[in-house]
Amino acid sequence: MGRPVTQWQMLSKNPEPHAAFYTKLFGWTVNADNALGYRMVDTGSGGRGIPGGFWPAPPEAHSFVQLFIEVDDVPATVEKTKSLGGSVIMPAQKLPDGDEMAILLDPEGVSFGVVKPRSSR
Amino acid sequence: MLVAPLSRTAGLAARDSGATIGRVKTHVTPPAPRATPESSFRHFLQAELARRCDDNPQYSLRAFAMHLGADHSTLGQQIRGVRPLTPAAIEAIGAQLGLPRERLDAYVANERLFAAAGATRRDREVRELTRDAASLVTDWWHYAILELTRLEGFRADSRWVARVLGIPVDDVNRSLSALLHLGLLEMRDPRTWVDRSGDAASSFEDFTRVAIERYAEELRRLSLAAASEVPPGLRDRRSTTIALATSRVPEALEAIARFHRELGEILSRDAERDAVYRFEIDFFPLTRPNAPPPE
Repeated sequence: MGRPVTQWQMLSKNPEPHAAFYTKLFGWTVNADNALGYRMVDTGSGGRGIPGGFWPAPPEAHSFVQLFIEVDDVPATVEKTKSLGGSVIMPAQKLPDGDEMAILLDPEGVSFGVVKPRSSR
Repeated sequence: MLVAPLSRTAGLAARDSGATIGRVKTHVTPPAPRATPESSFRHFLQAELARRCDDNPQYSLRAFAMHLGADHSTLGQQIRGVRPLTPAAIEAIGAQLGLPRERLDAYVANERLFAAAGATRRDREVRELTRDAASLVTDWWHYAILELTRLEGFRADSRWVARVLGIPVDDVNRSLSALLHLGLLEMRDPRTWVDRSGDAASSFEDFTRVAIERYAEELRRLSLAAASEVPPGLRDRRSTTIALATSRVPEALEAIARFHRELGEILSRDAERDAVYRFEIDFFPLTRPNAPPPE
């Protein structure tokens, strides 16, 4: 199995109007009916491309984009990241929807997420 | 489905980790009991509201206030701890909830102890923090979220937390990012969020202290990493241990503040910037303030 990028995420200072901008521009649909109130984006592409989402950015950060890579072992990937010179922003967590996720930082200072979907367990 | 990171520099800003080292208590306040729904009226109200929200998905802070004949804004502030619960308020709300006399008396007495223990430490510490850290420790709901996780009826659901606390879901989620980043919260499994601030954090003031300590730990880690990874021409680290007359301390504090301001002005002159640096000054006594002078 490869390690595909399975999701993008926009961290936004103002997620509600930010998401609305893209829904108006591209006709995407946003659904926040989940335990984290996470604004999940459906690009309406019939399985082409990858889905995304909007999450509130920390107060001191600019809005930015983050990519998520699917892995089969989140804690092991966290350790491997550290051994390669990266660091951990958020250790592995079990999210309410059952996914397991960590947020990491590569040696160049770019943050990214790793996720093991519930469905892959 | 996914939780956000803090930026690399987010909140790495506490300068107060050593401020209380060696401090000697000059007066003794009776220790406040651990804040629980049994000992703290505020926590009791939080738990009661959470229970009602759990029983009825339509229930809210506003409905709770209406039931109590109280203004929802005032009640919200009292539940959050940003407005004190006076004895009269405890009496009035408690009577509406049918609490027995002895329990009301105990809540009134305990609120006095909590107020005395809280004092102004938070204000003092916040002044000593830079903006990033202050934004974390001044948002009361960081601590309130940790408190909620201890409730029996807690739901690992940002929407539920937002409704119970009467704040937007986005604020809850910003807080989750910060708490997870600092290691103060753990999402152990899909239904369980665990307060990792430890038993040391039994009040907002304690949460503030724990958050500062975590910041300080992170700063030390970054500082050590910079010492080994960043070339000497691009960083500086120096420290001095010096015997002094305490009468000079005010002068030293003034000089530090002046230097801090001037350096900030110098470094802020360029419209285009290509790096983020951390600058920190610690100045604190190694000897106890009331101890005999060093030989």
